[in-house]
Amino acid sequence: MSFRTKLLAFFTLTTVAAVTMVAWGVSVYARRAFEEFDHQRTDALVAQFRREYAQRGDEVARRVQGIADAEATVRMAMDLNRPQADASQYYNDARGIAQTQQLDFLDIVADDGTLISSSEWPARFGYKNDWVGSEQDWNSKNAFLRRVDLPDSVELALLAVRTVKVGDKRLFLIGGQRLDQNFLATLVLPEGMRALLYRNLEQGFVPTALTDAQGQAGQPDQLAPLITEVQSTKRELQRTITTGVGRDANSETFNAIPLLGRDDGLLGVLLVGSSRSELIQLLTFIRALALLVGGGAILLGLILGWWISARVTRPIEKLAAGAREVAAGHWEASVDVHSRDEIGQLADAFNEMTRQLTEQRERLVQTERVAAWRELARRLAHELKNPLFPLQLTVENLQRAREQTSEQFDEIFFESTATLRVELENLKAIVSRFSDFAKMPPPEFESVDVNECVRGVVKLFEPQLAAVGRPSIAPELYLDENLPRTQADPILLRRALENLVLNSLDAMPAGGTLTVRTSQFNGSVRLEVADTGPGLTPEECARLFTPYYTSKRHGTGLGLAIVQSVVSDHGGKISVESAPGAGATFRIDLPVVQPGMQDKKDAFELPQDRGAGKGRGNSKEKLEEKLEEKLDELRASKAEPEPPGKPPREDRPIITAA
Amino acid sequence: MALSFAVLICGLSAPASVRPKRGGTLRVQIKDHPVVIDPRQWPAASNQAATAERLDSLVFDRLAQLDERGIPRPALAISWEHDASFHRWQFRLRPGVKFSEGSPLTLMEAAPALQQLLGPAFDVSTNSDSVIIQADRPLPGLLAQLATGRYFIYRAAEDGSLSGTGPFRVAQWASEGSPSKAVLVANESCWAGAPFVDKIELTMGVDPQQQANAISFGNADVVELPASQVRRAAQRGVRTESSDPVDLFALVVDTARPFLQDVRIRRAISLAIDRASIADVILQHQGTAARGLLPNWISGYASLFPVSFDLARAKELLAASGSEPSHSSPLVLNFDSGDADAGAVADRVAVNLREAGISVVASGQSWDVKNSKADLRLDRYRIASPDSGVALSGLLKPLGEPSTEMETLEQSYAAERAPIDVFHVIPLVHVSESYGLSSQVRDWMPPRWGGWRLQDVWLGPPSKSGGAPQ
Repeated sequence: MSFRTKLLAFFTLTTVAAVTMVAWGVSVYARRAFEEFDHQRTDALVAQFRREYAQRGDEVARRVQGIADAEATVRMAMDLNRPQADASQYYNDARGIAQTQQLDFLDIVADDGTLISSSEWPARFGYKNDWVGSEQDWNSKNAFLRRVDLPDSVELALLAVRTVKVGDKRLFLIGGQRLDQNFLATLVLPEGMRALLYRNLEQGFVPTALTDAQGQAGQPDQLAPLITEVQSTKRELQRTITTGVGRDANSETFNAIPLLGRDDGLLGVLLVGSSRSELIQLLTFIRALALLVGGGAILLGLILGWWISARVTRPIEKLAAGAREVAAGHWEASVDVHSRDEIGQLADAFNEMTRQLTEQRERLVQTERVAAWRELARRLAHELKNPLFPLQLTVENLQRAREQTSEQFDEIFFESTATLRVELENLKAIVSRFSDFAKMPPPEFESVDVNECVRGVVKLFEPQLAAVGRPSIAPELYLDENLPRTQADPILLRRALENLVLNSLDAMPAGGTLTVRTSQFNGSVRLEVADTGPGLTPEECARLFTPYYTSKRHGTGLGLAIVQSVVSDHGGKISVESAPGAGATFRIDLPVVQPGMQDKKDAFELPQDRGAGKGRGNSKEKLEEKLEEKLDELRASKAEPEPPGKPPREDRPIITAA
Repeated sequence: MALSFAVLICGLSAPASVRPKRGGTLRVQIKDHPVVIDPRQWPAASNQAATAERLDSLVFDRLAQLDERGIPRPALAISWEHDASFHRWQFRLRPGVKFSEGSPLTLMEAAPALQQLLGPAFDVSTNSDSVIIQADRPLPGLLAQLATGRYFIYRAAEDGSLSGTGPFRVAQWASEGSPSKAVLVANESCWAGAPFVDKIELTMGVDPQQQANAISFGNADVVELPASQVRRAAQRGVRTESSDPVDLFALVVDTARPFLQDVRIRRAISLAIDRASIADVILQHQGTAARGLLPNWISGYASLFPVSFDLARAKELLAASGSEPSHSSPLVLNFDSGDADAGAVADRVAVNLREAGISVVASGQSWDVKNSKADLRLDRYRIASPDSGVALSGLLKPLGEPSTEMETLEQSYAAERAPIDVFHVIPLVHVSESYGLSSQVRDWMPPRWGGWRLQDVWLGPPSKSGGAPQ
């Protein structure tokens, strides 16, 4: 992923995250604010209910007290206090009095609990009403909630009891009003709120017992779990209930307030529902707005991010391109950045760096050129000085021989001229070697079996290895028989290998082991020539491939330079690994196929296919198979273990020069 | 001295204050609607028949009429005689009687009218001055029968209208609408003498509460009062009059229902009902606990029927029966929703039975309750005659009991006992017939078995107190 893409992604993610955070924050704030508002509304409605409930209770108590205080009631109490009193004459009184006082329920009960008259169930006259006699001071008691049995139903009522005492007997007046939807209708409900009353007058949950201000409430089953929970706990609870499905779905928060009777029995549950549709609409609007703003912000962020990232990355891309040019060897590369920020400073520094590098390289080249010339001059002087000195001595000897006899002079003359001829040959040889190095021909590539080349070179040197009177050197060959054929110039390759072998033989004047190894390495052919000589110092390793440098007394310093030149012309690498006293190993890695020589390689191998008498079409397939085999060999070579008998190298210091 | 003077003044003024005055309009309200006054089309329901009889007695006359003691006295017949075996009766018509439209009453009108009303079982014929009624069976109670019920002498005009010889004639009869009104004007040529009031404005189909309000606010002179409202009306200053108990509230049990097939359960129902409370409290002492179908003042043997309120025994019987009605499907008790007394009695019966362990739902029906299908039925029967035989026949027929000979007291007792013993019919209470009267109404003298005698009523000045000017 490019830096620009990363920057763009960063900008986009930052924008999305920021918008999401803002939307989430607004949603949370809105939700909390709404819930707080909803909580306040619910509390207000519950308080209103309690207030209305208390007022209704006070009103009921006041009306019942009014009945108790009425003269007719007192007369009734006095009449009933008489022996042989006829209570039947008051049988119909409760209904009329209840209507007058706007009470839904009124029972007139004698001191012994016998029902004298009932407005709601007149036919129950004469039956006992035991609970009313248990309280001694009803007149100081407030209204309370109680279930009232009717002929065909059970009602929930807010009752008050008052007594009229005549003598030692009391007349009980039990009056009350029905707690039903009419009571709910008196509550002033804010928009989005509703109040429901569940009359808990039967066991379990009875759907028809749930009413609202209009009558029986719809979808009572959805409130059943909440009511059932209140029935079991008798505690105030709050639950959010979702009603309806799909578009009609509405979420409501219900506060369930238990309504207890005198004996703490649960007689009813007030349910205050607050619709969350406003909250849902608000949150939906916030989400839509957030999506809209987020989308716009993302789009804007993308544009801005693209513009900013382009603006930021363009100089960096220029710098990267400049760096790649430098890496490619174009040290004079420079970037054109005009900003004054850090990027501009970096570009300036880059330009300054390349300028400095170019200058230093030129200076270094100049220095190296001078050093090379100096080394060449020194080497030439050294090489030429050796034959010149005998020449000078011989010439001086000839000059002195003129003073000798002619026989002696002749003898000296012939001896001197022979010497002069030898030395002149030496001079010619020296000049010839320098000339050869200068005239290194370009390689002519062809398919070469490196193993065959190795065997040929080693065979060439076998007489020297086994020469009489010389410490023996044992050749050891570790050749990879699966080594692919390599595109190389066989003459130059042989020459380079001869130089390496010769170099190793020179490094082992006391004898030793010459090891030549071939192998496959990273798609290349690796050729290693190792000796068991005294090894090289790091300084020697560093200068080993410098032309005309030699650590030998009679070397020209051109052998390894020629090797390096050949390897370089083949697109390969050469390195040396050595430690003092541990011998030296020269390692050459040659590419199997020369760049741009694929067709040539094919051409090298096609004649073999033709020689096999195969058709043209088959030849192409064969070639592909061959290439595939080569690739398989390359793959196999990566996993190939080290050949047996190879000396371990981990325990010796490694110095590598390339 | 002063006291003697005051007594003298009172003695002189008293006759003048009670002397009947003629004229005025008597405003009467009744609950029933529509009311048919054609004797040929009497309703089957006894309480509606009672209303028809009250109205018909204003327009028509029978051959005989019952006196205060229930003894037949001459009306359109001035004398009667029968053979020894009571197969043949002969009634001599009163001479000089004219129908309200002016035509004289002759044997040619009387005999066909009676023949149509008595039916083909009777042979109605005439001789020179008498109507002769014969039958294949002895008719010892024929005179009592003809003195009550629908056996009015009428004359049918060619246009279908009827005319009678009674104290009033129909001047207007609007049966449409509710309430509907009828106007009866005095028949000045009535053989028994013209009535005191000029006319009667009759309003039909007025519910009891409206009637109570009407009498309280002076918008009516005569209204019907449910027994349960009599005392309250009196407390409000309304003048009330009640007959002897003449209505029977009885529980009719559908013995075909599985739960009620066991006679022990039916007996338990009878034992669980507190009749005294119904009579004393609900009906405000305007009734008496019923032992038999007929009140004791008519039959004289009602005390022979064993009846008591025994809740414990009722529960025992229920337990012994081994079956209880499901509370999810309680027994249904039908009653006439237009009868305020019936509703209250039904509610009390339901409470009593619930206490005994029988779940009952009282259900008011606005249609013919007696023909409704229910587990229990609260029926109200009008006892149409002070004659036990005639009255009992009138009761047993709508109950579906077989008609038997009830010429003797023993026969009547046996016939009455039959449905009671098997608890097919459970008598509850006998209730009086009560009326609310305005303070202007004078000489309200109905017979003890109820009904009207509006021809004797006259209107005096209104009383300032609103109470009865007795």
